[in-house]
Amino acid sequence: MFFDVFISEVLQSWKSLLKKPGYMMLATMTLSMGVSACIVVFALVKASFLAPISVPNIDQVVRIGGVERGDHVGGMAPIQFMSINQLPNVQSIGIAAPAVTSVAVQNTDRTTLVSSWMVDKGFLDVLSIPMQIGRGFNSNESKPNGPDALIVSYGYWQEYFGGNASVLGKTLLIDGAYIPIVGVLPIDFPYKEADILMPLALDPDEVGWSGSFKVIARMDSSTSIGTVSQAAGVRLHSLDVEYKINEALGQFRQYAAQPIESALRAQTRSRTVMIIFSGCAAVLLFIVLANLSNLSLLRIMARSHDSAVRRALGAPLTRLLLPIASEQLLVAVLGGVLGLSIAWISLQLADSVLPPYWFISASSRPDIGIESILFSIGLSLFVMFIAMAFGAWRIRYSPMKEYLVSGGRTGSGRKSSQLGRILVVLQASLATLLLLMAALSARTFWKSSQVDYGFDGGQSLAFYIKPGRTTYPDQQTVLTMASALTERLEAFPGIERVGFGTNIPASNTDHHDTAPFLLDDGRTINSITSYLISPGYFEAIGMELDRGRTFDTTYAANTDSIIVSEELEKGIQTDMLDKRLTLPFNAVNPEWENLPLTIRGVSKGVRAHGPNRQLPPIVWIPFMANTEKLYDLWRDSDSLWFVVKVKGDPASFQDEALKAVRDIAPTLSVGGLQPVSEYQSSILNTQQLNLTLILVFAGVALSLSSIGMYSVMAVTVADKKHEFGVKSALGAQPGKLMGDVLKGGSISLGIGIVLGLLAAVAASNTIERFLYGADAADPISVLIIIVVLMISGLIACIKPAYEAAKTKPMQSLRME
Amino acid sequence: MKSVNMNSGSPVITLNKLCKVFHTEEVDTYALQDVDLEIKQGEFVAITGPSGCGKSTLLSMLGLLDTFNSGNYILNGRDVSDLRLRELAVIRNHEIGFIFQAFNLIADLSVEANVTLPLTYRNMDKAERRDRVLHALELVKMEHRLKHYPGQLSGGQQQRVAVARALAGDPKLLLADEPTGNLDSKNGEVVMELLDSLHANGSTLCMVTHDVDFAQRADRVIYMKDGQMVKGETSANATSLEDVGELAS
Ligand SMILES: Nc1ncnc2c1ncn2[C@@H]1O[C@H](COP(=O)(O)OP(=O)(O)OP(=O)(O)O)[C@@H](O)[C@H]1O
Ligand SMILES: [Mg+2]
Repeated sequence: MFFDVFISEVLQSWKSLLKKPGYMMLATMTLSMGVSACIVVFALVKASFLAPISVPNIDQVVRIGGVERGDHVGGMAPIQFMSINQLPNVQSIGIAAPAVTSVAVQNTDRTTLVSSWMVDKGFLDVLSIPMQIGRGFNSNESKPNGPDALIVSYGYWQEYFGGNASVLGKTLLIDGAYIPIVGVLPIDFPYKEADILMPLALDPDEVGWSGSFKVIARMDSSTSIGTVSQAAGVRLHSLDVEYKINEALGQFRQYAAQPIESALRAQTRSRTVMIIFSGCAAVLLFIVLANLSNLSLLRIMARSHDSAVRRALGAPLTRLLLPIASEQLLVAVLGGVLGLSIAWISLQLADSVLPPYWFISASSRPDIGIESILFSIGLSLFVMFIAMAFGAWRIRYSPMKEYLVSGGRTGSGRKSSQLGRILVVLQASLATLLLLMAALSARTFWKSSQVDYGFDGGQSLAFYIKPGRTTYPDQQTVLTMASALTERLEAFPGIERVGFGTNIPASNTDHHDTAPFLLDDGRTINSITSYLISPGYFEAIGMELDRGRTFDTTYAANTDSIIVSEELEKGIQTDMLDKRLTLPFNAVNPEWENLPLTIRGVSKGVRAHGPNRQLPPIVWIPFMANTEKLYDLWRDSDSLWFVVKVKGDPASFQDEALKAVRDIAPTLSVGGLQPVSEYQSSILNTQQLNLTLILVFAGVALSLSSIGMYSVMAVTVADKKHEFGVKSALGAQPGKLMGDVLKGGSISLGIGIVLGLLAAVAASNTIERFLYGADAADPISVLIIIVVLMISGLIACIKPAYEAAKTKPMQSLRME
Repeated sequence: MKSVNMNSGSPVITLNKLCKVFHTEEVDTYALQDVDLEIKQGEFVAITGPSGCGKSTLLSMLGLLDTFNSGNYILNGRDVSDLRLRELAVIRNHEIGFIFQAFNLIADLSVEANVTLPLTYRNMDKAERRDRVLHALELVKMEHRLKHYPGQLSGGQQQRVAVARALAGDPKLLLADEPTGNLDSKNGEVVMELLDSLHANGSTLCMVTHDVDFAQRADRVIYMKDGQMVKGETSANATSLEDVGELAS
């Protein structure tokens, strides 16, 4: 073939493509939607799910601890950590504080609460992630009474030191002491909650059983997890035997080692969402492919006469496919580029609203990588390939004679129009499935936004302070300060009630205050969410008791009373009022007595962990003389939360809160000062984001299937123009012609919807598993979807139907 | 151009018991039944017969537009019965020129581009393509409409362009299926004169027509009925189709 022929043929096909741009616009738009949806989802999944964790040889790093509910490995006490210090086949082992807390950093003008975490040298050694600048902790700093040192996060370094290397010589003033900054964490440090790391120094002579510390270890490359798991288990078990833990707890504990990667990935809490997104994207991709196949099939059918003439003139197959290929190439390039741009813009727009915890580290943000570009090229080529395959199929199997003898008026051949109809049915059923998924997710998220949290914080303001051990060495000093603060706050007009405690439900902070409790019948109940609270707490946060009574208002009067939530009672299945629960203090420290507590009241269930999580069983423990030890165990990982119930707008009492803290505890700074309702809605923001994204998918799916419907009907009508002309010449009413088209459309749609519903029923088990609290066979959603699909499908048919109706008999019969 | 040498030429087309059946849901139509036919080089053959007797089917077999069920077809000394699609396309392009009742010009292409089209399927350089196209269009007196589009031409003009397109490739065989069927008598006459002069210049021509007068101009008229050649095929001296019908029954 001569080059000029090639070029002119390509140009010719582009010219005719642009002359009637409808097809190109539809195809380009469809392709770009498929490309962008897939790329956006892939970018999210990649950044959240597949992002590499910067820990070198991560498969050799394990977390060691007690086996908790759901077979996941929890923490261990310092004394246990000491017992596994020299495990065989383990290169290094490290420990970190149970949770990230905050410290007050005093700047020249004001004090800020900064999230901080205590880790030992071993912990950083195990991770072996190179520092951004400076160094990790050295062994001296990890010793008791060793030199002070701290490491700041990359984000903190950027924000407060402008990313300047001179940070290494500087200090931070914390709790009255100037602490030198020795290093800066890299941006991809996987534990991203803390802005400051401080050395955790355990005194081997004073370690006890308190706290659930994170222990990680790096194994030799030749060792299996099982070996290490067993070796640790043996040591920890013999420690339990030595301390007769089984007697205090009623049973022995299980220990294990688990790969750290899965634990880190679980932190992102994005599994369900990402699976839903991926499902949506996959369904959408199929709709896009069906749609594009349809469009190209129709396009090829529209060219039937042209191509029959060329074949009669002896055109070889390659030349017949050339116009299809060059058309598709244009569509592919435009669609691919448009799709990439849409994806890029969407990701830019979404970047600020995506919840940070979705991502492993600050460095893994959703982005368009080379594989996304390759994907869009691949998809475009695939679409091109489909079109060429249809083209070749048509050329191979459609007879030329019919087109040539009758001048191309006999229509497009039944096989092709059947295939077109099948594709419409397929699209409609996929759209039904996707819409159903979207409706279910929407309902789930809607339900969780409507959910009863078990308390009414609408009139309350919350904040937290972090009393340091130097100024407030024990529970008594903390309580004195907190009570004074309560009184001071309650003295303000408009403030009705003030309560404080170790946390508030829905604070969205990691809530690790769980404790085992012993029942009188010898059973142990594990992992009970527990709060230490003041007497005014329930009233201030708007929580009601179901039965029994609340705490006495004077601390001294409460000697052994606690309140449990309904959920705890349900779990045990007896009336718990006036029964006893015992805190196994003896298991924490053999010198301590177990603490028996009597249940004085039963509260309603409280969604402490967010709207779409299970209600946890809760024990509310009042601050009292014998909770001294408990508070001491918890205070490092907790802040002291205040809840202030007001008359009027809670947000307008922020100044009063700040003023009261300044008066009563001038060394302390206030964190998280905002209405309780803000805490609740910040959890819901993520839900809303999910909902929005899923609705976007559903909307795109709906419009794509309408586009598909439209193109099929439009081409069918154009194809039958002659038939309509004849019918109209024979006296058919325009309404009848229109009705015929609409009827044809609704039949395809109806079949598609039924198939989609059947598919949804088949997939309902899977769907329900991912959507907590949703009922897949929800008749209202189904009905709405059917109506929406029918309407959008029929709207797509209206223009073609109208075209059919206004066919003038003479016009189309004269047409050659 | 070759010299006129009737009856002495080698056969361009030899059909041997050619059969074509169309299978549809209700019936199998035997569109061609055991058709034997020989057309010699330089001959002008007209095919006529009642509607539905298989004329168009026969012509599309001759033009390799469709496959047949049994029998043999030898075109220019080569058996084309079992050729592949690709080889058939090459033969159509090089050896056969088509003229249809419905013209079948491509609406998106200009007159020039339409006529050039078959040549672009060969390896032929631009200058030669242009020469041939101009020559063909001169023959049909359409050289002044190079840049027009089919929609801008009358039916007769369109058919002349279609003839030019058939001629441009310099085929050994011209096939025409009711070339005047869509034209009024004046325009029909113009196209017929064109075909006559092509024949006079040595082209081999096979034309389907309903028009008895036009059929008379051929060297030989073939009558078909129900997919078969009617016996008594003669040189062009039958007076009417009715005669033939009686003869056959
Ligand atoms: N694609 C097809 N499928 C089924 N039957 C066909 C097909 N094409 C032609 N036929 C049948 O074959 C027979 C011959 O048709 P053909 O078109 O050759 O007739 P014709 O002689 O050209 O008629 P006319 O003079 O009306 O053009 C007819 O009975 C027709 O119904
Ligand atoms: Mg015919």
